[in-house]
Amino acid sequence: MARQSGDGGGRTIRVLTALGILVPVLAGVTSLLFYVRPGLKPCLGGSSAAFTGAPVFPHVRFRDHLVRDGDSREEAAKEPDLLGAEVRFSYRAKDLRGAELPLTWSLVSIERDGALGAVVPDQDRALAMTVSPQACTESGGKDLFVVIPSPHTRYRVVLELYRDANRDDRLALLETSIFHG
Amino acid sequence: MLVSVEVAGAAAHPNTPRMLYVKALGGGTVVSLDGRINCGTRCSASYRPGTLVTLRASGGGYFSFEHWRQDCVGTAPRCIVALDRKTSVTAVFTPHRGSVSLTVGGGGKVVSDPDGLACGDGAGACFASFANGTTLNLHPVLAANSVFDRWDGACRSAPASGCTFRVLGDSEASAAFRKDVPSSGPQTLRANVIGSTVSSEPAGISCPTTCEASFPSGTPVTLRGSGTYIWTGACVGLGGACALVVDGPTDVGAQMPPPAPPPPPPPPRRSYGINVSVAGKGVVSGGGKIHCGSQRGTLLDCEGEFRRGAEVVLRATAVGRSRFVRWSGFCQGKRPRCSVRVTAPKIVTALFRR
Repeated sequence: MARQSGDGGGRTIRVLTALGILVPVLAGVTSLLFYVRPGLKPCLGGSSAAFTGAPVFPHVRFRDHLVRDGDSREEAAKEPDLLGAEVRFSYRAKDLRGAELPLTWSLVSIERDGALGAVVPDQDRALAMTVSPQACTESGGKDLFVVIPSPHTRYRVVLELYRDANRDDRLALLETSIFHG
Repeated sequence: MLVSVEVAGAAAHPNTPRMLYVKALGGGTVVSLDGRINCGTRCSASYRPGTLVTLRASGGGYFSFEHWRQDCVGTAPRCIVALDRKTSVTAVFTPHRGSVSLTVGGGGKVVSDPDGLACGDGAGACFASFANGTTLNLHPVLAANSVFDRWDGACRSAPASGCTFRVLGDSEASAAFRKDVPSSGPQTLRANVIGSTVSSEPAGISCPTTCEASFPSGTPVTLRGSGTYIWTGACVGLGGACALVVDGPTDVGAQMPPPAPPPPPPPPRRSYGINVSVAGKGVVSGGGKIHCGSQRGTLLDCEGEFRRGAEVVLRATAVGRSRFVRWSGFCQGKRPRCSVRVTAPKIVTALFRR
């Protein structure tokens, strides 16, 4: 019995010693791997997203919007020069790397008393783009051109970011300030 | 260069076959995906009314497709025409450009017609690009006390009066001038080469090992490098070789052009939503993703995400007794077919009425 006990104690010490070497080595290799290939690092914690700002610039012509977005004036001249507003939104997404998040906008008219009016029919959750975060925490943004149907009406734009293509799960929503069309 | 496509028979009986005529003026071809049009060679075909014909434009030779005109718009080489009314389509092809680089040895200058090149004797326009197919004339212009000696490169067999050739791709030419009264006795040719190697013809210079050699006065010499050089001194210009006459002490510099800066990284390919609304009884479809206005389906059928720069062709089809009235938003007009360029998130509305 004494001998068996002595063997068991030795084995335990050997296992603990091996673990004491293996664990730091594995941790080091993993840290190095994540340093070299940060895309392999798992995202920890609950996923979330939020709009961090969306100032509106009214009375913008679509061609000017395109030129600001990088198109040449020659290319922009091929487009209809609609009147609208530019919503310069930004967002932050956390732990959503690899997800495809549809971003939509709605244009809502404002009543005289300031209450929300009707949604402009052809701009009700219109698809702007799909946000695809490439990192565990990512910030981004875009200038969105919104066509204004009536220049004498006040409007608000509602931006929404969804978790999936079916838009069952909204991650973020933002109402812009009220602006004149 | 233009290729014109014309659909005839719009005013004919509804069941009368519609003719599709294609005119190919060269520089490119327009083919239909059904194989019935292949213009240059087969430039007309008849179709049943309402047939959708997909045309594809391809540049030929030194031409590339640039854009559509008339009833097709945009820069995508594919276009769909509906043979339900008089339709005219033009494919515009533009010529590629070729470069011409010149080196000039001795006292004199070479100028081009059309303008673009003026190289030697203090002029430094030794490189220019021209549309392929351009007939380029190069003329020697003598400096004081100089005589034209010879051409080389693309102008090797040209007469002294001038060199004429067609620009097809990139080409190089050299011209050499000599003194009207050469110095007597052997003369030294010295090459100052930076970055690579230069050898002479006839032999003598093999720089960087042997960068100086003596030649009988009046010897025509061609210096050649292992790449393209900026030549200075008794030879000026840009090219792989420089022709000159050693008729006095001659110093030539040859330097590799600085490497081109690396191209900027391509911008990320973005995609944007195209959103369709239908007012009244009708269906709008297009882009392989949008089928909006039918009784079945969801609102998601009224939108699609497309790569930036793509062209989405939307088609409005009336249902029952309704008729298509007009588009609004990023489609305009009253024709039931509309082409939307994906440059931003866009909305399009189709209005139908009874």
